[in-house]
Amino acid sequence: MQHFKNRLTMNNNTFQFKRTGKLIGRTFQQNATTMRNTALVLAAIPIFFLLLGTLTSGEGASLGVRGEILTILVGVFFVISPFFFYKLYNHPKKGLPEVMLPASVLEKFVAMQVTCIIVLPLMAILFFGGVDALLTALFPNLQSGYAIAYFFNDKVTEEAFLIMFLTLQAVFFCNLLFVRGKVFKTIASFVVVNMLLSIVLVSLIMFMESLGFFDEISDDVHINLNEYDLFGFFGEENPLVVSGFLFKLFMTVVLPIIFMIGSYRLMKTKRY
Amino acid sequence: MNMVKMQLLSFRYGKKDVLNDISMRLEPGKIYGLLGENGVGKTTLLKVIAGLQKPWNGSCSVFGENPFNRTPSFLSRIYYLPEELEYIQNDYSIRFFAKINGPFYPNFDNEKFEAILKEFAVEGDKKLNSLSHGQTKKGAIAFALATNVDLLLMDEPSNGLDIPSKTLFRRIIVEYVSDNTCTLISTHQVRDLENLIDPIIILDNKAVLMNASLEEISEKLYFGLHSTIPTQALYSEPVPGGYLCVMENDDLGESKVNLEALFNATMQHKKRMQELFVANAAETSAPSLRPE
Repeated sequence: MQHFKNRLTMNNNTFQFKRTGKLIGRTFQQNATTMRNTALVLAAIPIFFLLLGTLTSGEGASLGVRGEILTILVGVFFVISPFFFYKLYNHPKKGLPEVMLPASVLEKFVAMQVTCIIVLPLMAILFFGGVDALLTALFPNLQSGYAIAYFFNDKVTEEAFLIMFLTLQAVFFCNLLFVRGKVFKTIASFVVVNMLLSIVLVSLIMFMESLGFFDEISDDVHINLNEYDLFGFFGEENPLVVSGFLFKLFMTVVLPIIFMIGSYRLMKTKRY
Repeated sequence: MNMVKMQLLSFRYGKKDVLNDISMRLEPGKIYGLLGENGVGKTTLLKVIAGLQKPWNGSCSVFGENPFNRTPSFLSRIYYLPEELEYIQNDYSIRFFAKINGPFYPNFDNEKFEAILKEFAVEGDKKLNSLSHGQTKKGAIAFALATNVDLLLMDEPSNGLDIPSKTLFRRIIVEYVSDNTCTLISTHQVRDLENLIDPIIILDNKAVLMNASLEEISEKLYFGLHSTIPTQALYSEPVPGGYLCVMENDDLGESKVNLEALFNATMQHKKRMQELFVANAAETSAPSLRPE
């Protein structure tokens, strides 16, 4: 372990934990005001729902509603975090303090990833979930159950995390790819890519059907990709299941890695 | 010892050539003035040195590294102060900017930063997006100097400063730039940097026309006031009391280099100036000229 640590710190130009930590700290300091305001809004939402519910129906919102709101907030915050923290990174003028900051591209990339994956979603959990839990504890007769427990018990799954991680990496990449009109261009790209992917898949299935590929397959075949662990063994199965599994593997593992490598390359080669 | 070494460096934006076969060396302990008309590639040259742009051809080496790699060891020894201040006009103060960015520079000196802020009379706690352009620029200059880097690149630093501030700027640069720092200041307002810069680099469309110290320039050129324009004058302009003339110095003695006249003379006699100073570069170990 010590040897590994030495190797990491020896080559100062590649990666240093200390510098990466400083970068994360700098992001916090730089965004302190916005983060504080966001935290206040997050904390106010459960209070607002409790007041609204109490005034209209005599009790707060149901656990399901609050849990779903928390889930949506965490998901949205997870996905928008690159825009929230690093919207200006590749701006030809405003991005200069970032690119000229004495730290390696790898350190900047890691610091950005850590911040995006952890900070904003955690804020939603802490401030929305925390205040919701506090309200439940203080006013058990007005609302029952904890949104935070609902979220972790019913919503946090490997599947959901992988999909969100893919989306985050795609947004992260778009944030570095587009210089102006990032949000619009990112949404437009998502729509276009989804449409193209749907057209290709439908065309492929129709083509396979025209070749009689599905003729020998029973209508009763039940395909459930979730029965398979991501890296689990799959043997002599139906080719459709295997294809589906490979597609899932591509979408949840290969594609995020491609996006991450792409983002790193964009950071490394960006000209200002 | 060269801090910056360029060899046959070329750069273009799309199909437009900006820099063409530039060769140049910069040494520590000097304040270089990079002069040139608008659009000749001064900013591009600074950006290539800072690692913000990649040359199309040729090489640029800074501290022996390729600047475009933007390694921490390179970035911690260089500071680029751009002309436009969009990068710094944020919802926080210059003190806050220094607080979050200063720790990344190993030689950052907060006392020096505060001293320069005080001399410039900058309101250090006022939000940068509410300061005037001049005040913001002074704050940015204060931070740049306080980093104590080995290579300081300043793009048109005197733009936006009022006359007293320009004088103060020259004094602060002389007072606070470290002895071993190589400073490269680009400007198209040559008078702003009078008595500050030495050596002088004059950049023209696609070429370095001159890279010489003031001593070398005054050895080769004579700047004098004449009642009539001498036939051998390379450049002349009417001034109260006669004509300010620039001539080749054929035993005319020493004279004070007038930067604006030098610049205009160079623009009018590019080839001759290159010949004069290319020959000079070959004789001395001073900053070199193309071809290397």
